Amino acid sequence: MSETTSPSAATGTPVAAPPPSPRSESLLTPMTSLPESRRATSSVWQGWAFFGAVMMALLGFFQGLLGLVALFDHSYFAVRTNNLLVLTNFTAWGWVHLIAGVVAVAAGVGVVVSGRPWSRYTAIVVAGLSAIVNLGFLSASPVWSTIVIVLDVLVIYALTVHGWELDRS
Amino acid sequence: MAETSQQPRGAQHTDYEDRSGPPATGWAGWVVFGGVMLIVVGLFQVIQGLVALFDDGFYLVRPNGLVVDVNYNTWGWTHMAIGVVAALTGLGLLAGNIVARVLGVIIAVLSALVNLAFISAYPIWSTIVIALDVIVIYAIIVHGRELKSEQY
Repeated sequence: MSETTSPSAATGTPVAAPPPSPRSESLLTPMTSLPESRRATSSVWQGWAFFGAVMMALLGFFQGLLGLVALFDHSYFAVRTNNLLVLTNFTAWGWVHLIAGVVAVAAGVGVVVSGRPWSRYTAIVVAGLSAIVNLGFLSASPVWSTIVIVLDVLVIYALTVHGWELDRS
Repeated sequence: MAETSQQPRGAQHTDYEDRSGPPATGWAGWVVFGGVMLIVVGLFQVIQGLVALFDDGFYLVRPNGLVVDVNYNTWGWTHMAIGVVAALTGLGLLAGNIVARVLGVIIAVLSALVNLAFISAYPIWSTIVIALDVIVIYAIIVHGRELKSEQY
């Protein structure tokens, strides 16, 4: 017969049960071959988009740590060319990284707290800027900056390709 | 009545996979990822160009150590040109421009080639840009049809 239900893009209610029944009754109906999850549909911390947000916070911590090291212990860095880009001393670079790291953590937490589009777009822009800042600092700490750039790409992927998962309710 | 064939493809029952895909709101999907990555590639290359123009002592070899033996000014302008075109193409992809798809692939290939030739000047930068170019090409070619299916 005609199926009046059009599940895919319409509402947030998932497959299983006929409308009035709560999820617990879905086990009684021989609907699918896959076991139905009895867990309430929690949107908290699931999926690629939240992975991207958590990764954003992580890379913010990495970058903040990089900034702190640059500020307080810059002999740690192996500056092979002895010649940093744009900013001439480690103190300036340290502050740049520290601020960028704090902004990145804030952006990541913002996406976790509210999955709104504007917070995702902000996080994408912040990730891009963080990648550029780390490109400039690559001469001083190649491995660390490369890791942060890789995380940036991962965050941008997660938030652009999977960001729509947060558009719920 | 509501039948079992509500999900004919027999997909998993996670909540968010009920949707048929990313909705046609802004900044969703692989093409957006490709566009953002292309902008990042463009900006990286602009940085390479600016360093070549203004601070070429930063690079590890002198021009005679490069594959194409031209001075760093020429290299700098080349990088700047490719970088600016790449960034603009990335913006075009974000705006949903169809031409930007083809142009994006072309400019990513060009950027990868130029960076390969430039690799001895600063290997890690060039490697990162080449890797990002590959990612851009993947995003545009494999997932580019999303651009046509959405109403941008």
